[in-house]
Amino acid sequence: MRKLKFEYSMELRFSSPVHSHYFALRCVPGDSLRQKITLSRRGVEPADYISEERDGFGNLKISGCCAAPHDSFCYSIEGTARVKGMIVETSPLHPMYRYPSKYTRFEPEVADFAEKVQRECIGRGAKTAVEKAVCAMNCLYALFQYSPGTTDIGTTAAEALRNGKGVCQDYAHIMTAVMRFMGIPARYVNGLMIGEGFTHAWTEIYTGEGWYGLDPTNNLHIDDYYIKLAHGRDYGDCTVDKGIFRGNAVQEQKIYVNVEEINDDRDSSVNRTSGG
Amino acid sequence: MRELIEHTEGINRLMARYGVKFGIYKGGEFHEQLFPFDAIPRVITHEEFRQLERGLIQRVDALNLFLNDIYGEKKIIADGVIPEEFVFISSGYLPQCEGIKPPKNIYSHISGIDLVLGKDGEWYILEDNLRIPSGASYPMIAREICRRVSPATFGNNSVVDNRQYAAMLRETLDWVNTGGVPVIMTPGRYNAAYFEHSYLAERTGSALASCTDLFVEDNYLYYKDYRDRKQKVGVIYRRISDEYLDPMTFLPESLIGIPNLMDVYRRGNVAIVNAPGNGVADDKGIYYFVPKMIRYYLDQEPVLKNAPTYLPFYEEDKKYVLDNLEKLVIKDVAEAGGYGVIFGNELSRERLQEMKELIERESRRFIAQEVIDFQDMEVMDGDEKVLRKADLRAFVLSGEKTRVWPSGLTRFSRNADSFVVNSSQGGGFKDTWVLSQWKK
Repeated sequence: MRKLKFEYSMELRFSSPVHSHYFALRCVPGDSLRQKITLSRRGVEPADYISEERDGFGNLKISGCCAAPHDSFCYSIEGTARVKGMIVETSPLHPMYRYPSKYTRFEPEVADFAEKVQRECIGRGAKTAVEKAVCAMNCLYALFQYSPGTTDIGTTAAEALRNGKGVCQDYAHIMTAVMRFMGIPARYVNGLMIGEGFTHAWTEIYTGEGWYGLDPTNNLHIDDYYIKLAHGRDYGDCTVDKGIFRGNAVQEQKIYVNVEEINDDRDSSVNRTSGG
Repeated sequence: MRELIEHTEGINRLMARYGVKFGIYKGGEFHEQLFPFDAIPRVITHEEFRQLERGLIQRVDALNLFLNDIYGEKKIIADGVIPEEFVFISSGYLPQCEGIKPPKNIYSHISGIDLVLGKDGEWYILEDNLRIPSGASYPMIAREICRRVSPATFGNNSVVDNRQYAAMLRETLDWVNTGGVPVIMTPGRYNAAYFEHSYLAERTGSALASCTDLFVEDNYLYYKDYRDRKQKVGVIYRRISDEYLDPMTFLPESLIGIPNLMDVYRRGNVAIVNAPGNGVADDKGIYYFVPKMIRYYLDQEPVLKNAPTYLPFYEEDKKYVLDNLEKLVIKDVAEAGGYGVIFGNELSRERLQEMKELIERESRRFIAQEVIDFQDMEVMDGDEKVLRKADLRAFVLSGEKTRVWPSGLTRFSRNADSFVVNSSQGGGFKDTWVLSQWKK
């Protein structure tokens, strides 16, 4: 069990005022077996109203609108999280996580990669879902190159595989697709990680009893340095922020994420990393 | 009746003046075309209609229970009646609707069930349309004009009045209304069924609105009227498809939707007619399982038959389909509106072989059906009576009770050799008469 202090903010600046701006945010971490959250701040500016509910996937969602013209929009959250590492979160399985989705379709690239993973699994004698998933993660980490700017938010798992490089979203999509292709239910996760300047994405696989997280971008098990924000079949289901507005403007986005460990004994921070 | 036939041209001219049109896209361009009316009605006897009514009510009730189950407990899957892949691979299944309880637990308020009458005298269900079935306005307006043109025809025949559709629809909307005005939402005048949207709005006393007239505020949906007054909406009969309904929940690029509408709906603050997510129940793959649903949820034997259908998903069915492909109809479960329907007997040897390989490879994607030898109907072609294939779309409304409109849309094919009667593929329509038990 570790105690983490987190801070996450996003700011949008518009080159000229926009109006009728609707938003849906999945930027607030929720409580689960793995993490207990205490929020100290939650701000959305400007907003005529804010409403909070759970979506069809079980995520916390904040939605609202700003009708009047405005030239900036920002949200920020701050709080502490008590997090357990490397545990299986027991829960019944929703069958949708067994089947391909928009970003994780079973295209030939996914099938080819799955074949590679299967061979590796046999070579290593990987039998359980977690062993196979770790095997897939190792293969993906070795094969795929981290390279920002070479893919975009619409890139599918198959496209990313063809491209050979990408960012955490692509790693998570490929991992999710290949797991489902191999018959292991999997879901896409958005979250925060210590030492990251942006939000992060990873994959959870279903072990038979519950969900277990793996981070293929870093070739790591999800331990107590990760805070989960939301999950879904793929990126499209749990986008951190969605917005739609009227107006003719160019937007500039700034994201600030900072997750640091709190040491209760001395009440001071160690392992400080900053994002930006 | 002869009088009515003699007036066909006049009736069609009046309908053109009323703007009874059907829009189609061809080569990327929008064309409005008239939907030709044929004056010889389809006649359904009182006894036959009672039987149809029983079967249709039973079917729609089971489909509504299925939708409640799929977005809730999923018992029918746990009990092994329907394999889960047919539900969760369906593009009509929307996980965003998980856990939502629509007002009064009704998902399909307006169901358009397509049937054909076989040569054996038996009605067969062709498909269920539980999303936004269109077409009720055509027989409504046709009947109205026919009564005016030839009152004697209706004096001499005991035809059940069908002009109460608007009242039935309004009652259906009122039953689920959460407290506010009723609204019919249209994607706009470039939609195939725009005529119907405006006609039904007028007849039901609902506001006809497009996305720019509707907005969400503080978990309620509002309509801004022509005087810029905002009014709370209690029920929205939307004529746009699920994926365009709310850009914050479904397709983000939708410009014709209402942002955050799904939040209002999830909180029970508005009824959406028909409910989003219904596509999972009228999927061509799920069709096969509807008789099983009726037995499972209602513990009744289905009154109306499905067309004999095979699922290549099951090995036994696949073998039959591959061996008999040349005499079957193949339907791609992802396509709608008469597209993606392939008649095995029209395929060349090479295409037949390609189709077999495709079915082998993507067996979940197709269903195969026996070609039903359905009864031809008489249609006037100039002064000559000719025979054409025709189907019937029955409208079933689910409110406090489930009711069948005593009429329906009879569509016929344009060409003598065509079995496809979908209005987006050309063809015309007839009035559907249900005879009263009281003979004149």
